[in-house]
Amino acid sequence: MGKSILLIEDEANIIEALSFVLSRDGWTVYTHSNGHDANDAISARQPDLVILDVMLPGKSGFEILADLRASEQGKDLPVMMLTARGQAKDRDRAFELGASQFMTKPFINDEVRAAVRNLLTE
Amino acid sequence: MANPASLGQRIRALRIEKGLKQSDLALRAGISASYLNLIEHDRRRIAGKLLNTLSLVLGVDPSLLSQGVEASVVARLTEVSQHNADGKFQDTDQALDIAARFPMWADLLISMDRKLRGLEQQVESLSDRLAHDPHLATSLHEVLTTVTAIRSTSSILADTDDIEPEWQKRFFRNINEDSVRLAEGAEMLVRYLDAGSAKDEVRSTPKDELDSFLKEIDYDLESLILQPDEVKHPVLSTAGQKMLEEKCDQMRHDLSVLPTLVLKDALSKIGSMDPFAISAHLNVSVPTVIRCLSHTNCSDQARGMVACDISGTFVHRRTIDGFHVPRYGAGCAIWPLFEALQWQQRPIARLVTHTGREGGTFETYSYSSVEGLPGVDAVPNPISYMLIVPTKEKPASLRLVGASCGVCSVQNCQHRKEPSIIG
Repeated sequence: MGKSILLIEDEANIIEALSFVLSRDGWTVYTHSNGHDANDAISARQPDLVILDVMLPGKSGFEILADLRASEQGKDLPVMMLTARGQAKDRDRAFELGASQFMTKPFINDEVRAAVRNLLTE
Repeated sequence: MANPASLGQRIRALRIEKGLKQSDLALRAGISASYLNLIEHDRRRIAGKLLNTLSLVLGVDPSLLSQGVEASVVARLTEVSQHNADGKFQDTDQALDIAARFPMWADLLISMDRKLRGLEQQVESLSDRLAHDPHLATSLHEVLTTVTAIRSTSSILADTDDIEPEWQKRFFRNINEDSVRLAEGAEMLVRYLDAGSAKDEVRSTPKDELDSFLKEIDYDLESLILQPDEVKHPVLSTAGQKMLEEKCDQMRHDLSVLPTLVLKDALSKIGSMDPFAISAHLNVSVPTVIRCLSHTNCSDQARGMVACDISGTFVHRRTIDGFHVPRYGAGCAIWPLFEALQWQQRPIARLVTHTGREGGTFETYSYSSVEGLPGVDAVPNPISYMLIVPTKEKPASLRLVGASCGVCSVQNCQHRKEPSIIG
């Protein structure tokens, strides 16, 4: 089985589209659509990469990332942030919290695929 | 002296009136007689230092010589230099020089500065809305999210040759759904922005509705209370109407303590809008005086007011040109309004200059107190008021204040909370 990705995103049609393209690249894709128990989902799935939306119901992507980096299991896990907020301060905050990659919406599928490939084959 | 049309003619007329030869005046002014001859025949335009020197020698005020140059143009040019060069060029002589020698360039500078100010005001307003208006932020997020879904899905359909019919059908359906959402979202956004640009006001919350309505009636709550039939009836939401009624209730109480005739009499006797002096004169609380100055037709003089609670939330405001109060989010930490919150019941009078493009200098009167008797163990909620009155006074030391950090140009401010977008 290939490496796995946990996609945490609350927009159903983005979940479907990204799951489709990433699955066809050979990755196993799990999905989760809310913030408040996202860290539990990461613990349960133990993915090789997390793709994390910033604006999620219940808990923001920034908070999820901060909690993840504070945990032993998640301190080195690659995390790619996805957000419609493309302001410099959001990018800075993501990297300060330990994001591995930051991508703004609307994104191009091929860019996401390339970034995932880089993060999972490093 | 008669008032000849040109500067040269005026110099010549004054020289003859004084019984001076061209060579005498030229010598005293430190120029050659032939140059003075050119000046008197309007073949050389002068201003600034030489104009001042000739005025001195001729014993007249420079303005008497330069009255051909419109004072308003010189004043506007001086403002242009102050606004665009951080006050580096405050020499009125230089403005006069430009206005006299290059009148068309002067007009162009003034016109461009006017446009620049308009644009910067729009940026200020839009930035304020973008940063703090939850409705706008949510709408934009919705549109971006839907665009992302459509782009990603359509890219799959365009780039995947061997896509299964079931997936293809599913993606077409998703694009259809998202396109409907996008159309609705875009329409809402356009409607929202149109409303803002058409009236320069956005009524997205009950507080916005109330602010807009109060501005429409020139903040005259007294007339609304006493002559309701003569004031345009507000079209407010239930929540907005409730907020208006609360304000009217407070105004009724204020007017029972301080009738407007009494306030007008005090204003006339004291000769200024100083609420502390009025309060002492009439033995009425400072907040009551400030509210009555702000919400009655007691004076023709321009004045603004802003009040906040202990959290810094603005609870009252009367807008005034030149002192921008942000609609959303926090104001400038240097406002005396916030200083007053730290020193309750202490009158604070401060001269401030607002750094906004249209900013002016204002006398501010700030005061905070807890009104009424809070119950046992109740959390006290002092309200701080700041009355803002334009002044022509130029204080020796300026306290520079802004609207909010995001749209403030003051560098190295120790109170800055976020970077400014206007540099």
